[in-house]
Amino acid sequence: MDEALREKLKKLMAWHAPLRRGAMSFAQLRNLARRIGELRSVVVRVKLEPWPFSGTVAWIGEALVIRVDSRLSPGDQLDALAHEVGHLALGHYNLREREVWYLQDNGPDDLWEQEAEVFVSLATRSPGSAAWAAALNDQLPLGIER
Amino acid sequence: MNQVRDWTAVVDQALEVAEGKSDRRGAELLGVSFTTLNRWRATRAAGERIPEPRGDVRETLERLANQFAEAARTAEPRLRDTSYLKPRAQDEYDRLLGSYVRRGWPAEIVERASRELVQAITGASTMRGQGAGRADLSEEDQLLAIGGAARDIEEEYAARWTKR
Repeated sequence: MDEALREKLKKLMAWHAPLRRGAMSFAQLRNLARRIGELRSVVVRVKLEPWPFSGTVAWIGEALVIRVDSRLSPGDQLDALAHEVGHLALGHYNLREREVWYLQDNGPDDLWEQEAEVFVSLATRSPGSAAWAAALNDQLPLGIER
Repeated sequence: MNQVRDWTAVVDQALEVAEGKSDRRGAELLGVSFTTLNRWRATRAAGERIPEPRGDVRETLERLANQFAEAARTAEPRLRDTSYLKPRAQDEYDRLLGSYVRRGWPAEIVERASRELVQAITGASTMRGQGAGRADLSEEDQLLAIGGAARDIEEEYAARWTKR
């Protein structure tokens, strides 16, 4: 795992207990998003409603709105929210300047998309996952499996 | 809030915001009395500088100046290109913008709302992106996206900006 990413994840886990425990629920992910927003004095709203994308993030007025498509299965809703919260948690957005970064190449080589997926696997992993403990300690190549 | 030093430029921008509005609405927007507004207009028309404002007036003008700066920074013609909208989505987009204008929302707020509607449709969230799926969305999905964003826009802007 990239050293910078590992450090970010370790700091996040130290800062936010539910992330440390894993198996985060939709409500816990929403609370994490709000908590990150509070650090930057930004209102973060999470909306679960029919939406043409699995998940998106956008500024509306003074609020950062995360939307997740309610037509997805509960598991996919969770992954979609975790992915968007991952972007937020990993600092992909410049909240101070009200900028939400969006990469032009959204393919498999897109680093930030990969990082967000790593966050998904961390946030939704089985509690006490040995693979994750090892990955964070660089004992094993990063595994995305839960 | 950014420090703003060129008060003449700031007041010019503020007067531009007030331009075309009634004296009452113009003064209200700028947070000054009719008398002050008219004095500023006369001073600037004469090409003279305006003394540095203080207190609430200064704060209001700084806010307006920052809104201008932000609108200039984030404006990007590509995101106002709506040629990819399908007919009913285009109609809905036009209807919404028309309703914002009719309700007296300031131009920079309408512009921002327009951008936010477009971002919802494109799935893009930034001034830099290409928009992940805009070419692929069906008319129904474009309408879904516009509807969702429009509800948020109402929530964020209507109470503050609708002219009563």
